[in-house]
Amino acid sequence: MSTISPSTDHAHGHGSGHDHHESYLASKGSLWANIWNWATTVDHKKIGVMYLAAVLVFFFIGGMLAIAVRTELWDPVRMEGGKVVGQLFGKGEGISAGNVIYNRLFTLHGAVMVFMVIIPSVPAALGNILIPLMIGAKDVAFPRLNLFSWYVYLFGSIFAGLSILVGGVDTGWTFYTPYSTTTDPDQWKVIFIVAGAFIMGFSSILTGLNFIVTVHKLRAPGVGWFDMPLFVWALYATSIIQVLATPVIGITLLLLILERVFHVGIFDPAIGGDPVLFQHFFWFYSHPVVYVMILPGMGIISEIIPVHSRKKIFGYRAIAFASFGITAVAFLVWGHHMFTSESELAATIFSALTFLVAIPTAVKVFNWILTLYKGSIALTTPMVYALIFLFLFSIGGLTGLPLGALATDLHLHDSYFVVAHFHYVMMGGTIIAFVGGLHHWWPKITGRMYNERWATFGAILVFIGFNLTFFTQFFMGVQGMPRRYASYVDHFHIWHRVSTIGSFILLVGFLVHAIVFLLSIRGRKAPANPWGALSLEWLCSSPPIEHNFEKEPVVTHGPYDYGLVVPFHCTEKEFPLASEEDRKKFASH
Amino acid sequence: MLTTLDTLPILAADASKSLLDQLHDLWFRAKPTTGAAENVDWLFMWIFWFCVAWFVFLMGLMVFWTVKYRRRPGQKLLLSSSHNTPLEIIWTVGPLIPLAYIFFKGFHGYVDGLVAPGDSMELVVTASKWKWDIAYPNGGSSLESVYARDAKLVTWQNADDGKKMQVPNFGQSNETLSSSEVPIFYVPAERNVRLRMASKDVMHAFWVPDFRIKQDVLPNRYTSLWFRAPAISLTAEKLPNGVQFEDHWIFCAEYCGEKHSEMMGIIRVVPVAYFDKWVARAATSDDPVTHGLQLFKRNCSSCHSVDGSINTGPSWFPDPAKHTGFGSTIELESGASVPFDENYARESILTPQAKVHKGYGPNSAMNSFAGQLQDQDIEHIIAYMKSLKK
Repeated sequence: MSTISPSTDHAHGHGSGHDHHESYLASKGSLWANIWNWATTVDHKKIGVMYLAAVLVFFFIGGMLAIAVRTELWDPVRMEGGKVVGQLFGKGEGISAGNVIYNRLFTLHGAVMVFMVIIPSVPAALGNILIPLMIGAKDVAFPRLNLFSWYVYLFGSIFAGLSILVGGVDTGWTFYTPYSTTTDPDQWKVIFIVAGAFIMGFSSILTGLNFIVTVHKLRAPGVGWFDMPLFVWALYATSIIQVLATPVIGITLLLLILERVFHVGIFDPAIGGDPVLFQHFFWFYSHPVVYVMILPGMGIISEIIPVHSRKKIFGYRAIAFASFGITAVAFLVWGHHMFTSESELAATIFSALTFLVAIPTAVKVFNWILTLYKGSIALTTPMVYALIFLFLFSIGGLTGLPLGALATDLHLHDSYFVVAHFHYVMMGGTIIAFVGGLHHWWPKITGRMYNERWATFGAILVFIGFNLTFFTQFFMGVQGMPRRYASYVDHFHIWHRVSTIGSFILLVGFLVHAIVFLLSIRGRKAPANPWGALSLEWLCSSPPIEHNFEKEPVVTHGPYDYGLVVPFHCTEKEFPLASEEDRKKFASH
Repeated sequence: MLTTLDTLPILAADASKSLLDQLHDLWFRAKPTTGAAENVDWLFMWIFWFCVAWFVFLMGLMVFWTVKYRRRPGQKLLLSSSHNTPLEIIWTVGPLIPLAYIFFKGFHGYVDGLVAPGDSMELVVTASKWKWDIAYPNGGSSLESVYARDAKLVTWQNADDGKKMQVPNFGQSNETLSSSEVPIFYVPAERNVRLRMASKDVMHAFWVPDFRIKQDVLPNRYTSLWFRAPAISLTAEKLPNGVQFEDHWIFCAEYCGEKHSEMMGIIRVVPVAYFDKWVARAATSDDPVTHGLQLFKRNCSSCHSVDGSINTGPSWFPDPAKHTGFGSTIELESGASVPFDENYARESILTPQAKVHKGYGPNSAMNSFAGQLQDQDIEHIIAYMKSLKK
């Protein structure tokens, strides 16, 4: 078995400081030349970096909105002894005025985090940068379309931003009718944000399409389907959902605008519509999109764990197929968001189907944990994040069980239990994986190493803060705390306070990460392969040159053959192989 | 009081209870109150222990292996098989068994909750922004409400004197009525009660956490729920007339706008004998002022106060100096002034946008009550407005 591909030999001499091919981040001259170069680039890495910058900015905005929400709940508005007390927003204007501001804040938090952060975070930002690198391609299949998708996303974000500038909306990110079609006579606010989500949907569809074609057509010689890193499999499954499901939300949001502007009776019963129809349409998209959010996160974990454990991933095919199992079931379970509003038969069927999602998800968790067995585990920041992911995501997944069972869901539906559950999945899952992935590929993307000690400290703060913030919410939900309440009855007070304290610790944790990343720009130069990884993106220099590879790579080993081959640019002394005997025994696998 | 922190429930655990009961109470705060709630709690706790077992097992393996196989410099890598088909099949098919069990248990409890027994008393629940209303079989409705958020402060009105709306006494004098008025609905213990529910505007959801029941309330169709409250416990609190009662919160669980979090109610369980007396008194009154009060409670009080406090709509408190209430001169959004007389009252009920009170526009948040209130109803509401005294 040959261990290192010929192209590796060629690339070996080229660390970060070689002369004849410049890094994709190299300056193009004057400031304006650089801006023009970035604005018109078709380089997948630059487009990915622009997405990344936008996602991080929106993540900060969405996070601060959440902090505002939690601060209000620290001391909620209420009447005491005939006086309004605890009013954070709209002081002196009565309880309603403060509530309206609170409602706008949580609506924006949800909309920003879902449409502008989580959906594009892994696929559009990291996926754009990594998919071509991982399969040994020069770029995605349609580079211009890729740039177009970025501008569509930006344009949609601006539209959504307009709704904030004219006052903000209070519909909740789910835009449930007839509330969303009747609230606020000044209808432009709702239309702006709905139109923004509609436009961003196209960016999602086009990016998904681009990735599907890229994976089919641009794999380097020697990269068979089962030689791809699992991250690529996860994003491939994600792209299929994006292409199939996003048009439905486009149509639904268009119908919503039609009803608001032209009073066509579709969802509002006052003019002949059906409000539950909207929920069906909405969740037919938004449930599959839950998997658009989590599958890429799972893909990241499938990379981080083997690299930092130096261990071949257990059950490669099972993990790859589980992604498609999740994709298939994703389209069949939208009705579990409506157990309290749909027909009894529908509720029963959707409940049964919902439990099926647990299977492929559990399979992945089992495989990840078994990968640790006999590994060589380094507690680097990305690995700490992967372990945090396993912890939080397991809680997120398991707390789905009482929500999937009908009798218990009737109690827990629309309560804080649901809020806690989806934060454990979306934030404890996707965002944690995204931040872990960011630490894993930061040296590759920027060419710089960050301070690992401080980054790990940030990760621990995030872990503590997250659990304080959201585990308390499970208790509140079971005890009867409804979602989207600006104030609450007294016995929830202690829980809310603990939760708010947690959210501030969470904020500090993320600020530590931000500072560590900012300081890394002046930090130590990253080697081409700091973790001793085997997938192709680590064959490129850090940061990669514009066309990624000096020469088309020919792949002769799998992305997870740890212990069998010396990693690109590394020595056996740094990253030891397995014993001769073991290598002979397992080389055939 | 909100400002005094409760002790954490886990610290308040009662040593006389079993560990299992203490954990149940940590989750739920209290024992289940109805038979249906017992089933829900049982299933929840079953799933909880199932999850704990899995979680401890998986995290235990993770931590154990992470420590055992931590990286040691210079050590040769260990290799092990990266695939095992029987194992994959076992952990794909195996979990189906407990999952199927959870599904069937959940389905079973759900079906039990679906169909109300034939002998149920039917109450009609009407939801509107932002108010719960329950109509009793004799057409009556509750006139009682409280204005406090703390369940411990929930007091009662003098229910034996249905003609007066009393300012609730919760230990402090000169209480101003707040906008967070919480209606109290009486229901009998040990009798099946079915709720037939509909919304007048957007979607709401009727949730009684103590009963573990919830159902969306939709604007275009009826939905229903049923429950059976058990006998009142011997230690329950007493009304001034000595009747024991137990209170349970009603929350709106489907987001419905600015006062979603104020859309609450209280279900007050009382013995059947007392309930029958109470409901007879709650029947629609012939007296114009009392009927006007009933209509006010059902239709208007979520937005209009009668004591001058700020709310979504202008107060009905008659105060010529502040230009509010019957008999005053009202300043309009348009800049004009009109007298608050019978015609202004009638016009504002039927076409709220015609003359919008200054500070509540440019468009009024109120919907027309044309078709919902009959001429006689409007007369009685006006009679009630006139009865209000400064």
